[in-house]
Amino acid sequence: MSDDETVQPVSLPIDPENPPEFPGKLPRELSRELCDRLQAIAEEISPYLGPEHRAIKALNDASHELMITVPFRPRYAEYTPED
Amino acid sequence: MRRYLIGLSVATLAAVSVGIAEAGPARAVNDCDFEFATSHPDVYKPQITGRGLAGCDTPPDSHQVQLALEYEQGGRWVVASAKTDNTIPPPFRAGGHRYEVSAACYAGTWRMAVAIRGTIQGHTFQFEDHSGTVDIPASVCHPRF
Repeated sequence: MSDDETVQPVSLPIDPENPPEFPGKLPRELSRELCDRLQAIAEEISPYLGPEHRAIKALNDASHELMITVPFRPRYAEYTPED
Repeated sequence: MRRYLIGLSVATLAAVSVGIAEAGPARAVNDCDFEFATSHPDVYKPQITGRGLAGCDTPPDSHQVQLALEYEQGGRWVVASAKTDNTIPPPFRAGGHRYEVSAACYAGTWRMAVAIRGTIQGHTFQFEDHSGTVDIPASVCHPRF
């Protein structure tokens, strides 16, 4: 899926007998917003738990998982694909 | 049967035509992307952290990322801390490669900056980007001076 295509969520309600195919991608803006919200949570708990706490690592890991669900948008390292 | 054969021939011709149309000269495309993990650095007192992710669809020959934390001083950006990583990043769909850099937190305006260079198919490439900024007041982190 190219970055130009709009990622849309499945329509609700979902029929359990005939579940739709999920896009498996997040729109870039939504992913960014969610990562920033996870960052805000991590920053809020950091003064209590310390920056090395595993809860902060888990939030950062979750943010990473959200980032890699965005449609790939290659921006550098131009090359010519070989057949 | 004859109608079937004619139909088959037309279909074959169409497929060959499409094949010829698509087999033009190979087009150059970009291979890699780098994204900051968040809009601005993380403020995990007493430190400040920058995080990012790179991914390449096809492994380049070399790929060097320098992720830095910068603070503003007198209208210029000064590097507080930088980390270099020469890992060839896998594609995003395989998780990409994560980068992280930290520095002691002082009051001021901060941002992340990335400088990437490498080679692919014998050609060098470069890429630079920076994140949004975060203003850290003296009530959160001590002043630098």
